[in-house]
Amino acid sequence: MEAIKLGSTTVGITTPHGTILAVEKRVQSTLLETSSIEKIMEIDSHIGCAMSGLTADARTMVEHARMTGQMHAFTYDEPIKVESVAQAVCDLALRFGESVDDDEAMMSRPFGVALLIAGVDEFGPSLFHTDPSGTFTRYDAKAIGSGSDAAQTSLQDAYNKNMTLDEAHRLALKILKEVMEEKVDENNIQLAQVVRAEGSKEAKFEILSGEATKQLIAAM
Amino acid sequence: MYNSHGHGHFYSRSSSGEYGYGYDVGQAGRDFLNGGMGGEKQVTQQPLVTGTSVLGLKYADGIMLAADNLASYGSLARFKDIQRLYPLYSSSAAHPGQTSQSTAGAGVLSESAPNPSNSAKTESEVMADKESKEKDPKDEKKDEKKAQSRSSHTCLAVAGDMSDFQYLKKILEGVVTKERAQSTTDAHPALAPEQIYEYLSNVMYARRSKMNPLWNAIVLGGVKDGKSFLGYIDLLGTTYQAPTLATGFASHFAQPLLREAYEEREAAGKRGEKEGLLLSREEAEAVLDNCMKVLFYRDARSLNKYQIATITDAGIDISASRENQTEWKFAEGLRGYGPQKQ
Amino acid sequence: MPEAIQHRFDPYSSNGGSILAIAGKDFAVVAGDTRQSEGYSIQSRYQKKVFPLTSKAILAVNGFAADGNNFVKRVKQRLEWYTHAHNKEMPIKSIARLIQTMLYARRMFPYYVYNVLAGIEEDDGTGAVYSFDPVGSYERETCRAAGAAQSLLQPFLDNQIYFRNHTPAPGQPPFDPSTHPLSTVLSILVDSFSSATERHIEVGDFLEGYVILSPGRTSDDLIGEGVKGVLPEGMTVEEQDPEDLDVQSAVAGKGCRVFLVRKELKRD
Repeated sequence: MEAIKLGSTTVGITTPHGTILAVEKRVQSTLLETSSIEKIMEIDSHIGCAMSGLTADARTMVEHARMTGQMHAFTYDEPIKVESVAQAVCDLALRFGESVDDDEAMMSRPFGVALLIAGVDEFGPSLFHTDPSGTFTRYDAKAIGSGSDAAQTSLQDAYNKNMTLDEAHRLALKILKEVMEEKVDENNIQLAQVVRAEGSKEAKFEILSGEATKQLIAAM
Repeated sequence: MYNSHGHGHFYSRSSSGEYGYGYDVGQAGRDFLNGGMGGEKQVTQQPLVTGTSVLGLKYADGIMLAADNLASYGSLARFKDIQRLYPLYSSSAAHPGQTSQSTAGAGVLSESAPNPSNSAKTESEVMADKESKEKDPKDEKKDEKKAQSRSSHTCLAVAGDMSDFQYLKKILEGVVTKERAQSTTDAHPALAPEQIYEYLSNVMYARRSKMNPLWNAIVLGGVKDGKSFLGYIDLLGTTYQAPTLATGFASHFAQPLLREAYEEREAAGKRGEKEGLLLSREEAEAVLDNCMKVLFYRDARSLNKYQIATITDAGIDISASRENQTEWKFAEGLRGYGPQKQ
Repeated sequence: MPEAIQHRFDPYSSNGGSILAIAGKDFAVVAGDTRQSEGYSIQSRYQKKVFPLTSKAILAVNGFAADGNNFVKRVKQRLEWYTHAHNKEMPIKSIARLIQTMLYARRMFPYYVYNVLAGIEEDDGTGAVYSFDPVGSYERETCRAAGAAQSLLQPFLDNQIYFRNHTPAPGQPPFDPSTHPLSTVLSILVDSFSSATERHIEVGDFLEGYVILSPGRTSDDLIGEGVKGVLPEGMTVEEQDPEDLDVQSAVAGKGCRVFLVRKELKRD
């Protein structure tokens, strides 16, 4: 549980127009290729997630979430709800410990990662936080990781329910800037959003390009 | 039966014209049977010792069932004192959750089975009797009040394979015993006929789906809190409810007679000639007697010795075995019916 | 000793009867006769084959009755699980897909059942009819008849609902099958079943089904004073209380109203 407090800072914010995610990539070395650090992943075309903690563990969870989303779409011909994905991920989080007889093999230890799951479904944009205990909670805005205490306080002060998507991005950047040691640029952070385009029924998840990130940083 | 639709393309999306789809479920079903799914070892049994058709009729006070006492071995009339009426569950005002035998008045289980071994009482019922006798009369009164609205009685009439019938009796006895155990500890509701019916149809459908059916046709009659229930279940898991029921041969010979009697009585009631819409006890019994006579005349696997179960709010009464007066003189003048004088 | 006849157990039977559904712009109608038969024998004159599933979706099943009843039971169970898992009522389009997966799962030992699903679409409130074959092939249509009298009913619907072999008068717009008023649809329903009863021995006794109205739609053409002469003769209409409907609706349906319609058919 305390392990995730050591993870990189991750922020999620919901607005009436969509949900955004922002993460700090810890660039350990100038020789590191920053694009190889992947801390935001797509779960379904309308759901994405950002992670903090042991990111390798997150791959298993995201894999499970993706499978659940696809199975749901296959069986019910509808996009899965964001909450249902959070629930599915948390169901997985409890499958550790000793396995009994013919029970399927269990995991040796709990997951050491927290997720922010962002998406837009029939009930609108939403953001869920899952932690290693298998608990999930819905938030308007949430920060996790090493800088989360300060970040959450900033969110508390600056968040309002009617932010635009742009304002949300800028708020997230501002918070990352506050908690990060090095100077924020398009290489050491990553931004993503799930947005329902005007007049469209389908929401779309996308990771912002370096160029778009750069512009947002510049406009800060 | 499904082949009556003809082979092959009996399903076609005709309306749009551009979309044709032909599919015969029967063939896929047969593929399954052929052991394509690795089911080589599954052998579907065939009925050996069998009982012929049974009847059920709704009447004013509840339900009546009828079945003869014969268990045939092919065309051999092998066992002639078999009871095919099975009083399964009785929970009355006096003994909630227990098979009632001792409630006073008419309509109680009578000691009139064809022989002692075929007694209508099951072992656990006898036990229940003993227990109830040892009960404090004060308790009994209390129970009576509490359980006034909890009388429930269910009885079966079973045709088809007699060993499968015995197996059914065994598993149903288990269910009923469990329910009784529950009802000793708390205010457990009585099993309604509908619930036993649902359970039984699940058993029958599950067995047919395993390609290993219980080879029976069952008529289940019951009365709970004055409301009567009559339903049919067979080896395919097919179920239906109707005020008159008949299995097998009787569905051709007796069902028309039952329906005629039922519908005429209903019409008489609607015209205001008689009180209510349903047959009286005497009328219903006469109809069943007549049906059993017709069946004995025409069904080669039947016996002129049968019983009638009467299920009312008061309990289950299984009659003594009885027979009908028959007249065979007509046969003498008929060619092909007994010895002929050229 | 009984002869050693090669007698193989046949796990299927066919229990006759027919079902039919028609979708309107803001309503759907689904009905079936209540006769259950096997061969030439009528087993029961009143046995349901139309079942409400949710506050806005109703399923009609026809074919082998034992499979039909069991299938409906399983679908209802899946709907309950879904409601518990996702905290909402399953939309009709999802029910349709679910039925496909359930039918296809039994591809090698099929449910010998023809399903017709009718109700109101979640997103646009239009009437919807989905029809299936026994192994799960399905499509959304405006109308569909299935069962013993399919070959009698469907051509009539093709002509009356889909306007097959009709030509619009010169200068008139093309026909639109989704614009039939409810009263017309009910007349077509009753007439087609009366006709099927006349010509098919396995159809008769009672016609029983449901009308589902889209949220906000008036019921003036279904119940109340003004319906005399509009509704088919002998048809009774009864609004259903969602509470009594034995359906999955943990989250209240968005105001769909369901009506039970009944009419006597000939018994011969």
